[in-house]
Amino acid sequence: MTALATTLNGPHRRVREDVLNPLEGLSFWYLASAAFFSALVVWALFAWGCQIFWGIGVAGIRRPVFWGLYIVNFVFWIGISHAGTLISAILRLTDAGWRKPVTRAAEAITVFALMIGGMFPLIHLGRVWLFYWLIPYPNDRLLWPNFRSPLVWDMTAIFTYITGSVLYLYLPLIPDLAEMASRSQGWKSRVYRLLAIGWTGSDRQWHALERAMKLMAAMILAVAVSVHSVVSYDFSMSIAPMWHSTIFAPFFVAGAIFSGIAALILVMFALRKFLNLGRYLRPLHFHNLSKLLLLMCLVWLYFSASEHLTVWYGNEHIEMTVFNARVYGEYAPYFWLMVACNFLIPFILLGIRRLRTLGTIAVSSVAVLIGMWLERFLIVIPTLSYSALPAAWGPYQASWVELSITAGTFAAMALFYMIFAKIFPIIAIWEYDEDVSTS
Amino acid sequence: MYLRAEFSDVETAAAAVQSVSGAGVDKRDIEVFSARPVAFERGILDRPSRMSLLAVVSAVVVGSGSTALMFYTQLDYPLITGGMPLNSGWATGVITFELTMLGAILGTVGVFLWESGLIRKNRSPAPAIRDDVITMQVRCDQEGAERLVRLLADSGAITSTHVEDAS
Repeated sequence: MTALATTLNGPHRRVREDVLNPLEGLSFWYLASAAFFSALVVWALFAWGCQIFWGIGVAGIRRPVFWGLYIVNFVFWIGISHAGTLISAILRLTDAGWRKPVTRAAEAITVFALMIGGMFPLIHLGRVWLFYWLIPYPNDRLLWPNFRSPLVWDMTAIFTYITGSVLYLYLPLIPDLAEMASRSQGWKSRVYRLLAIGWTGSDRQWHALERAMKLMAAMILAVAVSVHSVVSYDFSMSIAPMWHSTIFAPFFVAGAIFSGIAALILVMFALRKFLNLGRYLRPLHFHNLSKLLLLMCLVWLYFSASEHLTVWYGNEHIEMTVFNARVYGEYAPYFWLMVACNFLIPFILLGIRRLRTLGTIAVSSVAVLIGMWLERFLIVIPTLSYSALPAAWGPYQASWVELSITAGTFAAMALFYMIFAKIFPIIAIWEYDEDVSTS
Repeated sequence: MYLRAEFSDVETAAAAVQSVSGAGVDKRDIEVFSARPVAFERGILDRPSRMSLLAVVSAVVVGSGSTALMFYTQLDYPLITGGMPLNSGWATGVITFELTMLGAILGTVGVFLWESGLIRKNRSPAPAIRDDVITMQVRCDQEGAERLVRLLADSGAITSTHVEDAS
C-alpha cells in the first residue's frame, strides 16, 4: 500500500514542486525588473498628476481630435482582456485537455488588462474626481445618467466583465489556496486560509466548483463578446466617416480575440522562461495557440478587407477622405505596417509549417500586438482628424503625458503579472493533478 | 459521531460508498474528501443542484430590476437625446443584457458558496487533505458504527477512525 501511495504521490509532488517553488524567495533579476517597471509606473502616475493639476490641455487631445491615445489604449487593453477569460471559457466548454496549464495564466491577463483598460475612460475624463457622475444613483441634485449613451453602456459592460472575470479567476484558485495555506506558515498561511474561505476538498465542494465553472464559462463567453461589441458601439453609434458600420461589433470582437491570443502566447513564453515551467507549457500549447492565432489572422483580414472594400466601393466623399488618409495619405505608413504585422508576418511565419517554431510564434505574437495597437490608432485618429466638415480638420500629436501614461500601462501590466505569479500558483495545481491521475 | 476511512483509489472508494449507502446510510451523511475532484460514475454519489435554476432566477431578478430602474428614472427625469423616445428599448437593452448577465454570475457564485457549504455555519468536521488517499466520512450513531467499520474494511479501507461531532 505504501508503494502504491508513493507511486501516486510522485508526479503529484513534482507538479507541486515545479509550480510552487517559483513562489519562494526573490531573485536579483526579479527585483531589478520589478524596480524598472515600478519606475515606469511612477513616471506615468506623475504624468497623470500633471494632467490633473494643469488640466487636460497638457495632453495632445484638442479640437478636432478629442479622442487621442487614451481611447486607443482603452480599446487595445479591453481587447487584450479577451485573451484570458474568453479563451479559457472556450477551452473549458469544449473540454480541451491541453487547456489546463494555460487557463489561469490567461484568466489573470483578463483581470489586469481590464483594470488597466478601465482606467483610461477615467484618465480621459480630465476631471477624474467627478467619475461618479457615471454611476446611476439617486441624489438630490437630480443628477441621472443618460442610459441611452454608449458611455454608460461601457460602464455597465466593463463592470460586469471585470466582476465576472475576477470571480472566474478566483473560484478555481480556491482549492490551490487551501493547499498553499497548509504548506505555508505564519501570516502567509493565515492570508491563504482566509482566501480559501474554508475549502476542505469534499465531494460537495468539488461538484459545486465544477458546476459553477461550467456555468460561469458559458456566461463569461457571452459577456466577453458583448463587452467588445459595446466598445465598438462607442464608435459605430456616431455618424462619423468609417465608424458608422454594422460590422464593427464582430470586427472588434475578432480583433480582440486576435490580440488576446498574441498576448497570452507572450505571457506563456515569459512564464516558461522565467519560472522554468517548460515541463507544463510545452511546445504543443504554443503550436495549438499559434494555429488559433493564424485562424484569427485570416478572420481579421476578412473583416478588414470587407470594411475597406465597402467604403471604397461606396465612394462617398466624406468616407473616402478618411479612407485616403488612412491608406494612401499621412497615416499610410501606419496602415501598411499594421497590414504587415497583422497579416503578412503571422501568415508567413505560422502558415508555412517549416517556419513555425517557438521563436517565430513569439515574433508573430509581438507583431500582432503592434499591429492591433496600430489598428486601434487608425480607427480613432484619422476619423476625428478628417471629420465631415473640412473646416474642422486638424492634426493630432500625442504629448509626453499621453506617451508616458501609455508606456506606464505596459509596465503596470508586467508588474501586476509579476506580483501575481509570485503570490499565486500560475498553473492550476488541482486541474493539472486531475490530468496526472487520469494518465 | 463520524467515521472516517481512507482509500487508495477511486474504485474502492466508490465501492465503499455503494455498500455504505446500501446498508441504509443516507447519501447526505456521506462525504468524500480528496486533493482533486473524484469522478464517481453517475448514481453513486450524485449531488443534486439548483445552481442553473437559481442562476436564471437571479438573472431575471437583476435584469428586470435594472430595467425597472431605468424605466422609472427616465420617466421621472426626462432627458431627450438623439431624438429617441424616453424609454428606448433598443438603447437601454444593452444595459439590461449586461446586468442580467451580472445577476446570473452573482447568482451562480452565491449558489456555489451555499451548495459547497463554504458559507454555512454548521459544517461537519473535515480531515486534512492528503495527495495519496481518498477519505470518506460517514455520519452515524454510536450503535451503527461498528457495523459500518466492518463494511468499510470489507470494501478496502486502508484505515478507519472515529471522530466525535464537535457540535
